[in-house]
Amino acid sequence: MISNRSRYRVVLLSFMVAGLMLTASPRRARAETLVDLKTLYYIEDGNRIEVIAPMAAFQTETGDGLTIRLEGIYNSISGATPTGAPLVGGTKSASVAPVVIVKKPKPVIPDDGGDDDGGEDQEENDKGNRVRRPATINALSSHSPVSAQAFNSLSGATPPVPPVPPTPTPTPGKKGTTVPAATTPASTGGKLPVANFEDTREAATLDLSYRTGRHTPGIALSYSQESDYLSRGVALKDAIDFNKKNTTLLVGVAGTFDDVRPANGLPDDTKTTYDLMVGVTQVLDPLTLLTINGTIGRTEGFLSDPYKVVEMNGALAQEKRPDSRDKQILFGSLVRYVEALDGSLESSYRFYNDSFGVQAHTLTLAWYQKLGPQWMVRPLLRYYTQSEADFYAVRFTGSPHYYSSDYRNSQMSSLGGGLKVIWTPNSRISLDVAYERYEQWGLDNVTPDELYPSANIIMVGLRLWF
Amino acid sequence: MVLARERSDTVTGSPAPDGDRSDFNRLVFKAMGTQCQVDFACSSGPRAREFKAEVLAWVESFEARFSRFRPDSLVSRVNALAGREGVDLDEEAESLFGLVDWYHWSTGGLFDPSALPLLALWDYHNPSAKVPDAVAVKAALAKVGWKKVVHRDRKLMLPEPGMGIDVGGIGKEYAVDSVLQMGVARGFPSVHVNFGNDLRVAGPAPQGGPWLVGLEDPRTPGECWGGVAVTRQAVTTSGDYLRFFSAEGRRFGHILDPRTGWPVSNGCQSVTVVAPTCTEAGILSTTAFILGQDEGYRFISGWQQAEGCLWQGDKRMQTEGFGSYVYTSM
Repeated sequence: MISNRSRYRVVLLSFMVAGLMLTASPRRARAETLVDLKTLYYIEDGNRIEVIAPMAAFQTETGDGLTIRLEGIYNSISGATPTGAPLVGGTKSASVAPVVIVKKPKPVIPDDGGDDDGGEDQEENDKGNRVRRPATINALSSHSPVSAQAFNSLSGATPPVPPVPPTPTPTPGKKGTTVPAATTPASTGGKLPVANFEDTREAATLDLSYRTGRHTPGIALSYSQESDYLSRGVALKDAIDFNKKNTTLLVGVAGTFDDVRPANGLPDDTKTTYDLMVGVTQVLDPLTLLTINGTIGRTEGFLSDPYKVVEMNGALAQEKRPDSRDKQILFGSLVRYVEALDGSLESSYRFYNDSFGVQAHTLTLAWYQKLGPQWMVRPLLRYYTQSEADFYAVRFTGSPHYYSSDYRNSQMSSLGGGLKVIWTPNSRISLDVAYERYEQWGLDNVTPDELYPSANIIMVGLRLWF
Repeated sequence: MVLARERSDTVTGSPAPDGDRSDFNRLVFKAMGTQCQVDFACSSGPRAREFKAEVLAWVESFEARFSRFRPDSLVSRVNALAGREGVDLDEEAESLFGLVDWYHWSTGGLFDPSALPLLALWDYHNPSAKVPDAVAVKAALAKVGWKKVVHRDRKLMLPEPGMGIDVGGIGKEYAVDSVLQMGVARGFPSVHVNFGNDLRVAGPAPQGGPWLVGLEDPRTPGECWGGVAVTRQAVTTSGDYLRFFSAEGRRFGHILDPRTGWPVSNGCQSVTVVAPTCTEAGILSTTAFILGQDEGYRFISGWQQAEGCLWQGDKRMQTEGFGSYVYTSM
């Protein structure tokens, strides 16, 4: 079983963050117990990756200012992810040196049905006037040995040491052989080298915060496990109110301690992340809320993806990224209620910079529109663009220090758009359904378009208050 | 496929004998315990000599670093420091062991250069080799497992004393790929590299068109059952019909199954693979040989751009696309 986590982790994280922000938003100020039940379904075009992620949360506020939130998530992930090896026959990946393409790198030997794999591709290759031969030939009757001298070269078992017979001497053109044109199989035409995987992830978070005077200190603990990845996190934070609660200062530190246990034989390793965040939320006027925060962080340890490879000097090699990364994030958000429309606009911008050489910008616009007392719709648009990492290329020559052909390190953009409908029939229940479409594309004119997946995301949520 | 040290006596290249392409040059030498041959198209004498010198120097340097038979090699140092400390890897070693990681994984552990304790037990270099007892095999097997090897931060370390590595299963093939790339990088329109009957070509053969590669018949070594025509692929064959010893009335081939610690005895005689690189072809052919004809067939079928042919007794199985390479009719 091979698993890959990074891509869906990013996706899930974005939704979890969105969820937390929603929870933390002042829109609904209740002090009671609630239960959240949500399910996310993520499917990439071509069924490349499929994620089903049910989530349940319980939150309660005691009368003395303590808030407890416990959340559990179960993910089932399956599909195929690009290995990083260049496309076979892709126009943008024309390569001087043929490369090793792994279609099915999983160590499991396919079952009987697996015979078909590769057959389709070859079917294409064999078009033309080449003679198809059955897979099994009993050569006994027709066997007629040919002297090795008749060939340019000989392939056979390696002779014993010391080598007794020298390699047969080629006799080019000796027999006056006119060999048919060099009909090596054609490429399979833009086929994406992928690794199949299937995995599950179980995660839980416990969030405690306590309001005392103008301070609301809190601690959050998180735990997440997959077959090849274990993550534990702890975060400490404090929100301090000033200026008659019109200004809130937020400070937080977080540490994440991960164990990477690749399923492909690479040695186990660790990854540690420390983040420091400082932010401020300011009520600009009764209808406008501004949030600005900054984060700096450092990650150390195994930052490569153990399942990604690169084409290096004509052969495949495991990708290699630096073993530390420093990042800086600046985030700003403006929420403005528009009385005339009975709706509010949430706009945010996020700038990301790291020592890998990646700079990213995210712009999000969401409009919350009330439709009567029970209904609300929220269209959303999110644009993202990033520069490429210093060590990204579709193939490598020489001996670079770091190298990755993971498209997520390439110069790329994505656009997401969606609609959420929220129904609150009474004060004890709220139901929501959301759909989001997610498109990505490369900007470097080198990375094959096929690498960038597009996806559909459907979320269904239920919240109950007690 | 053992990187035994042999003096790399230089045999100066001579133009291809009597072909119709007089600009073909040949270099023949012994290295890595086998016969090595490089043919390349180059009409300039000085450039050809320069390339030959480059090849010989590179192979000598490669062997000096990766042969386990040389006490001062990197591999010997890794083995000597097993259970104690790691050894720094240079760029080439990092690249080679990166490939080892990858292929160990993608063959489900059947390609395992940490099988040296087993190789030492089954000492094929010793003419009076005996069959080791099952307890010794089990003890050696406990010291095998590339997954245990620590490879990170440009260092390689064997975590337990008694562990050992031998890159014989990949070194020669890697060298074929490297030498071929050196020729291509020099702009030679055609290069053929054959080390111990594992080969790779780029460009047309001296007679024009593809290189015709004879495939040795495991039942009658020295003769070919057929041939394949290639212009930019590697062709390797794994088999134990040339290297084995007989004891206690049984025949033991030199290819060991890292799952059991015993020589492969599934009846498979040879596996030929055509693939883009010699490294890939060699590892696939050996892995398929260990798996046996049926499973090996399915294994090769699952790889893009690789085709294979497996002999067992008089029965030959070949993957769907192998026929498109076959040149000589059977």
